[in-house]
Amino acid sequence: MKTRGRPSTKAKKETVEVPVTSEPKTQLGPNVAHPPQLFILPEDISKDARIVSLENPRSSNDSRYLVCPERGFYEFTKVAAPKSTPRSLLLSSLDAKAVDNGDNAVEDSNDKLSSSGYIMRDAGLFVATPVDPLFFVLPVLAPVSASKHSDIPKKLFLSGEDYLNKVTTTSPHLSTLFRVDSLRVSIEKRMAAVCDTVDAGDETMYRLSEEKMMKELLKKAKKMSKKGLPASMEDKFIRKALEVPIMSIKREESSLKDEDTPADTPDTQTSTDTAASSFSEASTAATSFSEDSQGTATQTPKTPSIPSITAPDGVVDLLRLRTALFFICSNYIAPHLSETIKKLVLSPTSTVNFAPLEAHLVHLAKLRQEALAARQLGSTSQKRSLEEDEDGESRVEKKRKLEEEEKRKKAGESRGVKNLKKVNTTGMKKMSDFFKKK
Amino acid sequence: MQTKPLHNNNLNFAGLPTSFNLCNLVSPIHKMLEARLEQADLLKKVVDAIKDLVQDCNFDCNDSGIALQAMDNSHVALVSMMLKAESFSPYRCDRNVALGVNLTSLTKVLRAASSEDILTIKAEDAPDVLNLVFESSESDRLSEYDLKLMDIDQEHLGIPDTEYAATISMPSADFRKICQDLMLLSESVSIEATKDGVKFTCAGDIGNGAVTLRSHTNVDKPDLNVDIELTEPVSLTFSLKYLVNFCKAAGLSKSVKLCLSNEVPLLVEYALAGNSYLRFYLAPKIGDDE
Repeated sequence: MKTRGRPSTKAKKETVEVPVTSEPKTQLGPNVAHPPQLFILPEDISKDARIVSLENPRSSNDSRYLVCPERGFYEFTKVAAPKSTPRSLLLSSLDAKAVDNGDNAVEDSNDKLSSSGYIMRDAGLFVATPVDPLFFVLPVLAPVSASKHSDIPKKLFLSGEDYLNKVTTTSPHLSTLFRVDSLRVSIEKRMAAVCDTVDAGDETMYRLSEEKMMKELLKKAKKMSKKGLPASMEDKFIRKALEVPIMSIKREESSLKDEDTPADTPDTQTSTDTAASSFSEASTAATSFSEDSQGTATQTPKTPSIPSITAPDGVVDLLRLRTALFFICSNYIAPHLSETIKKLVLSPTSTVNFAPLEAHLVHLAKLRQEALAARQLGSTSQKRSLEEDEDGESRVEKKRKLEEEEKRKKAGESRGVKNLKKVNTTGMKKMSDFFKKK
Repeated sequence: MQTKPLHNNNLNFAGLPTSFNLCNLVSPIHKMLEARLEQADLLKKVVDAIKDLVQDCNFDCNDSGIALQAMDNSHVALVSMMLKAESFSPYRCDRNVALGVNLTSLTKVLRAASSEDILTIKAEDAPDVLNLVFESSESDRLSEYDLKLMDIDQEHLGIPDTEYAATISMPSADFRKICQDLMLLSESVSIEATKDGVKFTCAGDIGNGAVTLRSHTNVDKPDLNVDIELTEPVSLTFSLKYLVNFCKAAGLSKSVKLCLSNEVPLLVEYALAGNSYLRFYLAPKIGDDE
């Protein structure tokens, strides 16, 4: 687990602003076998900060996080060039023109590398972005065993110590960090935000309050959506979801409707299509849970000028809010808990009333269905008419010819000939029976 | 002064005939067939008599005349026409040619001809059209029609000369009347020829009827003669509808000849001028005599 890396990094100012990093003194890095990796870390984190393996609150796998006893938790978001446009990074020493080229070039303090600069084959950057420690505690506050929380009557108050001990069992690296009081305090503060608390002597006992948790999560979601969702999310989950189907145009994004939340885990989510969008997306995503981060303060979320969405007042905001919430759920909250949250958010007791959104989405779904039906109807009828055209053309042609022939025959047929056809000729032999052919 | 107008008139009169003469001179060179009937009536009546029996047929032209043989749709009746070259004046046919004609169409064209008109039919070698010219004998009207011809596959039947058991000659009008009267009662008639005479009998839903003819000679009016030649008694049944149809040719000839033998078709013959004839054959009804 020991990383030996020297990703002492110094970030340039990016067009999309990333938390400026300094060179951490910590000796963290990849194994020797692996090429150096580039990390962009918060500027003034403490010397005690470590990159540790913690249990990913969503996937329950171990993931790497940067934990600073003073500044809190950071997750790593990989910013990578898309596979279609491979890039490399040139790392050169600071006294070269690294500063002013405005590129991703970063001084590498590693002696080996700094002298001549270093070219990183993989242009991936790991950007440390703040993450609310609350997410790490939630799994123990609402353990899976209590997945049917609603019908678990006895939820016990436990001391913060107990909870933290549980956390350290799944994420042993934390045990050392929890010795730092500041970290514990901050975590307990976060716990208090979502828990009912009882003071027992000098200890505070906590018990998860779904109500408070919802409030907290909604707060995050509101914050995330207030500044506008990242463009890609906005486009995929807001614009398309609210798109009014055009009758003549095929729309198939009914599947992209509200219930769809980004399924990406933080890992996959970070490898987005373009570097630019991943910057914006990753950083904007970070805003949702970095309440205290200066990163969010410096965020200037892209709000590209796009045609306005036609939807009733408030619906768009509601959808953004819900999308943000579901995004948080799908990335930072264990599946069982997110299910509960989704149920709660849609329940009438929810502090935010999503009913207008629901109604509008149902309405849209209906419209889409109608459009689809109309299109299918149209296409089949078109098809049929086409078939008819081909098939029918010959049929009509044949019929016409027959009729014409018939008509011609009729025209050339005297009344007498017609009448003779009706004559009963039974018992009359054919002429050829009497007269031989010549 | 006087000669001038005359002269002018002469020129005018001369102009037209000259052009006609040219036509007449030029046309025979191209014509395969040219047949001139003194009276269009003959062809009109022949076609009228046939057109209710046959729809399309070939007029087979050769140097001996124009012949036609066709069957009705059911193939139970056959019409055979022969217009000998002698019936025309003049008649010229350089090569055998079959003129496929729709009789209804021909009727339409012939309707334009008055009975007294002089009719000339012309056709080229491998013709596309049959050219018909009607000249009014009384006025200078000249009507000219082209009738499109058609290709008709027709089988010709060889009709042997038959010695009939009974041959009855009678006024065509009488025969027509008998057929028409009996048709009102029944659809078929039994013709029974014995030495006593010929008896037409029918039986229908409303009753039955019989007409008997005996040999009869009217010196004053030979047209009314009834002549029965009998080698053996014959009794056959025929469809009256067909017989009535044959009778449309009654206008062609004052008398008609019926020839019967057991087991062979009835022959109804209308003799025309110049050895021409129009003959109808009709298969007897067998096993159906009521």
